[in-house]
Amino acid sequence: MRDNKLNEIRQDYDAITLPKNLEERVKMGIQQAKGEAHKKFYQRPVFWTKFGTCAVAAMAAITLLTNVNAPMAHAMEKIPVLSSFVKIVSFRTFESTDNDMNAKISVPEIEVKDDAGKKNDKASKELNDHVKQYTDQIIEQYKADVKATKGMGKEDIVTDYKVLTNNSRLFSLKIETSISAGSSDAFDKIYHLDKTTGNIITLKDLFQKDTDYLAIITKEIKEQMREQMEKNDQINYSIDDTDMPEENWKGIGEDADFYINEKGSLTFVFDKYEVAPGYMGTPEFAIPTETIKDIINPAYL
Amino acid sequence: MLHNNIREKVENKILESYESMYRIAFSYVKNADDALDVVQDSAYKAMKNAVSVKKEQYIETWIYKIVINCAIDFMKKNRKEVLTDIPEELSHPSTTDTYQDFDTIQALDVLNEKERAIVILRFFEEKKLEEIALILNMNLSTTKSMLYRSLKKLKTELKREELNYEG
Repeated sequence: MRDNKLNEIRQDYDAITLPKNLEERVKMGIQQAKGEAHKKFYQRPVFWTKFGTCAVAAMAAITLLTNVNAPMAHAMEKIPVLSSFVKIVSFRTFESTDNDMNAKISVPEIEVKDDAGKKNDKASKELNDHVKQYTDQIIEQYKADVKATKGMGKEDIVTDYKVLTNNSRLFSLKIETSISAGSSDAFDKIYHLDKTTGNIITLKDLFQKDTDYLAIITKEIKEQMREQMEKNDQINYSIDDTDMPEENWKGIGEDADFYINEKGSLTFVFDKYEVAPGYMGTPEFAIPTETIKDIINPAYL
Repeated sequence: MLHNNIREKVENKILESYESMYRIAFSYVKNADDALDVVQDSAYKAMKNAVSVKKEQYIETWIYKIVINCAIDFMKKNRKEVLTDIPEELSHPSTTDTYQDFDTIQALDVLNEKERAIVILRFFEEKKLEEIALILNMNLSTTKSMLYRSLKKLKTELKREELNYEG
């Protein structure tokens, strides 16, 4: 009797219908894992951190521009205030095709002029050198990939630029890269120039000395992430994971990419895989002014 | 090189086994949507940690281990199930998608998560006791005695259901 009953259960078990999209879902799970492994191959976090700690610095965004009256001299620099004209004057494109491997990497060149029309060589050179160094690294990575696969790999790299902001105070330039190679990857680097001082600004410059801005911003972003996850099951960020805690996002670093959005808020941009699984794309988080108004460098208020 | 090898083998094993993975998951969560979530999650975890499998012969048991743990975790997070004798209407999950009405599979509910795994793996997936012991991280004798205990529980439950049905 027991065997018969067990057989009945077995029959029901075997009769469990397999959904039409079962295979697709399994493949999605596999692809997601592969995509994340791919990120490690590029080792981007190390790559950019190394670059970001360059003394002459990664670019930063200026927050809270809306209330600027008269431009003020940067507290740390003794450079006289000037207002500049910044524009892209040219760009070179590195293009290459090797069978199924393609690269199209556009490298913009900017020119900074003061209001008398005189070229500011120092500011121009600084920014252009940074952009060139950054894009050179991407080009080198592509060349290395071609070499490693003897040109038989499958990879598409496109790097392009976009001017995010160009007002009286700030010039913001974004270099965006997308890579398709089996799975895909996307990352940005944003550069900012303070047009009143002709200087490149780092995240550090935006905040008062000895304030724990990294922790404060990280806390705010994590709170927003948790809120989003609570409201929507489909949303997922790599924080609070108990299964693989080493994969959790460790927080904002000095080289974090950011810009000022239309509302004038300091907004952080993350690369694909940086804070969330691949399907979440490149998320952005705006920091409410309230949260940071007490720690912002008064020069930027 | 060796790296790529094991990852490829794990991927192939997942693609061979996902139908079983689905049925196992379904036996726990009782509806298609959740079972799909569990299977996708398991495929992801298996692929992500593929390099940790030391020997090819362990790949399958390791994948089953992941599925069962995922299914159990999923249930813990979504406490819809109540593992006691309750009227049929209450023990069916309130999902709107396709779920199948299995009087007999419901009987498995009298077993705890591990006991259920043993019965499914032994009688439906036809795994050897040694494999089951590995999958569930138990020693062989414990696995055996748990199996016999589970069958006894099932027998009692099935008898009780029969009696109820007869009036």
